[in-house]
Amino acid sequence: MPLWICEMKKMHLYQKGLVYIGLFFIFSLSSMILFDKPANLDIELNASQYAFYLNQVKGAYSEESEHFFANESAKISETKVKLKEASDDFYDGNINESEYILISTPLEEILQYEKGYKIIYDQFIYIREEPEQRYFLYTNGWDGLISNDNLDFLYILLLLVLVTPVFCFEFESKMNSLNLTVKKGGRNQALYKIGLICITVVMLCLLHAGLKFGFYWLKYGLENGNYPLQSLSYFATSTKSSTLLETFLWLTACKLFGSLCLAILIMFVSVLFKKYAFTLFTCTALILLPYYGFRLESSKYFLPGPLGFMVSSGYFRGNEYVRNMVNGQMIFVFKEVSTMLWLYLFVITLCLCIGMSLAILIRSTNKWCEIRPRFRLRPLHLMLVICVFFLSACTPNTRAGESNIYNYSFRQSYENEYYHFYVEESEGNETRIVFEVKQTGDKQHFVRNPMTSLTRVEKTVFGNGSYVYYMKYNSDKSEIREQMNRLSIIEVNTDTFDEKIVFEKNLNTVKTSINLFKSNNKEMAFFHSVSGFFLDEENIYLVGHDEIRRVHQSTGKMSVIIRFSVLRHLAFDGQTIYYIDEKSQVVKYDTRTDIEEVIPDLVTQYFILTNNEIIFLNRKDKQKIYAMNVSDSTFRRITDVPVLEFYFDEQSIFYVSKDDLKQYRLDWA
Amino acid sequence: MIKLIVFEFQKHFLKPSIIVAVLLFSLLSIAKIHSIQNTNSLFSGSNTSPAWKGLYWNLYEEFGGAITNEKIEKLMAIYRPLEYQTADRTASSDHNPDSYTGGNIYMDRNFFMWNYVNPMKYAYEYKMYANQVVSAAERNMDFFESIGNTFEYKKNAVIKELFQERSISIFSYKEMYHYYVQYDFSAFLVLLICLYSLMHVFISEKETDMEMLLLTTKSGNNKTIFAKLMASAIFVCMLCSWFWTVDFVAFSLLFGSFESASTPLYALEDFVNSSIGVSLSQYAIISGLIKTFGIFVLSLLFLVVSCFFKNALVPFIISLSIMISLIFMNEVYMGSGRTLQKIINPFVLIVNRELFRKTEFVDSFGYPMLHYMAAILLAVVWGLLLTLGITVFVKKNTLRKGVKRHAIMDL
Repeated sequence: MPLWICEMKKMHLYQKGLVYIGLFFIFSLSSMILFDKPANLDIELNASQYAFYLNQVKGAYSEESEHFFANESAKISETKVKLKEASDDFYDGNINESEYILISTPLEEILQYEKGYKIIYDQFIYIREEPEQRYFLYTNGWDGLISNDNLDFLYILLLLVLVTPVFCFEFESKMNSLNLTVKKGGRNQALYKIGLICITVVMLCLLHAGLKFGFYWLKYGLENGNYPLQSLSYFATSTKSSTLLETFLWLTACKLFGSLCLAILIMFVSVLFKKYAFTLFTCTALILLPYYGFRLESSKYFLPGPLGFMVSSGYFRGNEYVRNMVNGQMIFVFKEVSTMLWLYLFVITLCLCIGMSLAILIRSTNKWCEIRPRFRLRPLHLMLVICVFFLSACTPNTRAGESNIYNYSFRQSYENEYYHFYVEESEGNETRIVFEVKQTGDKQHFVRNPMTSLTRVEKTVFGNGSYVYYMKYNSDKSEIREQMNRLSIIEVNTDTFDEKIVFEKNLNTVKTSINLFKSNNKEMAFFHSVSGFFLDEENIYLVGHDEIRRVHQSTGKMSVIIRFSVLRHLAFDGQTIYYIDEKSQVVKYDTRTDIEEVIPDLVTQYFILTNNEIIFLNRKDKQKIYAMNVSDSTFRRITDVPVLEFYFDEQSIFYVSKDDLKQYRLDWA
Repeated sequence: MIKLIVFEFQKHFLKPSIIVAVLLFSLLSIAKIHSIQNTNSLFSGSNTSPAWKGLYWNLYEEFGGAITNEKIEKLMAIYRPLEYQTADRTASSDHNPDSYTGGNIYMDRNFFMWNYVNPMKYAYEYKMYANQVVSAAERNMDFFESIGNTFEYKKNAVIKELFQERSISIFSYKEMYHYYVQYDFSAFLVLLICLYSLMHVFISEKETDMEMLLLTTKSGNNKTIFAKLMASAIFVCMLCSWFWTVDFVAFSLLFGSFESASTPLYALEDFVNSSIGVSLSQYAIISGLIKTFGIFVLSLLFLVVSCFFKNALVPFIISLSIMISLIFMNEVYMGSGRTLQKIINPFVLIVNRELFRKTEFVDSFGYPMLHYMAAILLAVVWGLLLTLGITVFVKKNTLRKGVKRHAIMDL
């Protein structure tokens, strides 16, 4: 049997190399599927709106696109005004329905894509700074593929477990002296070993790169690979001229070189010290410590050795600065690695590799191996158990039961059988949520946590029977300034006033702990702008200033379900969301079936949802108060006079008449 | 027995490679602390001019120590005009040699604001805040009693007890502690060294096929296991004490101050709701002890994993992956209100500021337990389980072989 076949058998079969490789690809693929998040979540949540605009400006920046953006913003604001006018005309009876539809349909089509325009406009602002190098393109695919310097732990572990035993396996059984007597031993065998490892590593690296490319290509599509690198904001200030695809190829080549270098390093250390533990320890420390130890992200790229090449996206980045808070000067957060320096680093690392290979050859001794007793399956079992253990950490959290009616304009108050909860804004700037016991009229704080520092409670409550919810931001003061840390929605059982967290979002953008996992925080803005929320059994709905997002309570899956340009009013009855659209119509959105429909003839700027009726100011009848029965869609008039505003309780309805601006009371009966 | 422990200790831990690693990593840790000081300290060369440091310590003689009304008035007499002049950002930002810091008026304002006014204000107002917390807790006690929620009642009683009499009467230089309590890098280094050195404790005999021989000796079986565990514990303690001492001394020297040792922990603004009322120096010791315990629990985990294997390769990889996963879990729940998920992870003991910076409770059979106590208890449980695991798994092998041996002797 030729030597290389024997070595290959030893590596891949007896030492379970193939099993580890298989496991690596399974874990790697599943972690990509499970944990991959788009770099810019807004684009994914508003994919069709974004695509509409992207298709019109894709490619290089030109005068045309500049005009396009100038015109488009004007067009959108004009459209809004026109639509408002047309609606007013129609509701006042100046035009008839067919005319109105004729006017409004094209206008609505324009407004439909407004959110997409906002996203592409952000991109436009970025591109305008350097129009020659930055192109319009869909960035999530390429961003996911190349815009990160995350160390691939699984890959490092795989290399360690594959390469370490190549020499250690034989040292362990102390057969070195025997090796010297064998004809095919010595350098010859060491050469085969190195060659075999190099081939395996090359294959692995290429396969893995291919897998990643395939994954991002399938998930996002990797179009426009010929656009310049600077189109991605991660490489904004880069001075390298390269296209996206070229960069990916370069990164793969660098990673290949880095992996080879690491493999040779592992073999070198193992030949030198002949011990598993020491080899593994040294190599892990050499990779992990420079990766986490440096303050500047770029420092690791200035060191020769495998690490820089394994996470080589940094070689393509440009200088990045941030303003020092204390003295106001600009300081580096990333220092560019020049091509010259990169070449030096490459040559030094290459020389190190060659030196190490020579050292391996010189020091290597050979031994015709016997088959060691096989490993039992235990490590596999252990791994599986651990994985199951970590994957099963989530528990569902649902609250069944009938739902309460939620009206956005009443988000600062909620009433149930025993209590009335509301936001009190007295006492200077201090706002707090209080509740009143209905029987006794006692007033108490609703948020019972006595330690109020580093917590900000938002001025919104949501109630459902005896369960009342509030929202708070926690912060920490690990820097000079306070940092927002977490957004949580808390459920309070008002029978016992026990609190429970139903939703939590980490908003921390500064480093915590050892910070093994760097987070990307482009999606945080939405969570800072949440002005209200409501829940059903499975989902939490967060109201932002121009959209409503639905978050699944147990899986955390998030989607944008409703978009509007201006939030006028909305209500929720446990299944259906009612909101007012641009044409002042009330739209019904069913949260179970995701079907949206406009309620005919209901035109208003303000409404209140009750158990079975929508009470509203009828735009079509001079702002008189009307009520619409939700189940059979019949209308009834409540007042005969035009009304400015109204509210009501169980007994009566209170309204301010438009004619004399006086408040009136009207009993329901 | 002691001889056996000493022997095991010498065999596994007095190796040149470990000593070199400890020394090298100590240097690394010091370098890291230096970079923290250089980036963050208000007195480091990269942030401010050297004048700041001199000015600070000059004024410190005047304003440091007990906070009195005269001192506050004197300080405000300096600060108010600065604040007033810079309020609308129209004052000249030109270099002014007559200013306090030798820079311009904005720098003067920043200097006083960050170094004296804000910290002193916080210290001065803390008593009021603590009183507020106490009275809120008292109100809560009445309220929860009236609705019959005994758990919340007891919880608020504990909070009341904790915050009663809290006040900060002394103004001192706390910057060093501010960054010291957030420093974890050395723990990562210690974990790496433990991972390396503990791998061999149970494997070394298997690698040399001496484990059979060990069984025939008088002090084999449980005695050896006990000795190995003891030796490992001693090693972990020594290693941790060394690193925590190096950290503390490096922080103190690089920040140039041994001040604030007797200042209460809640004088750090991040610890405003702290769950323990100890002084900063006491906290440094407690935190060190808990960190050591956390590292010991993880070390036991490494030992358990290594019991299953004949060489160090696979257990090292598995232990490293578990370690990384635990760190990841810890980071996910850092700062979270989901207390149980946070404390079930023994790694939380290593990043233990998370346990002390907020007062949170865990429901243990109807009694509110402060979550740092619960975390320590859980870690003890983990530790016992893992020790049990070690005895069971190692013993199983020896027993099986022991039976065989017995049979041969019978023959």
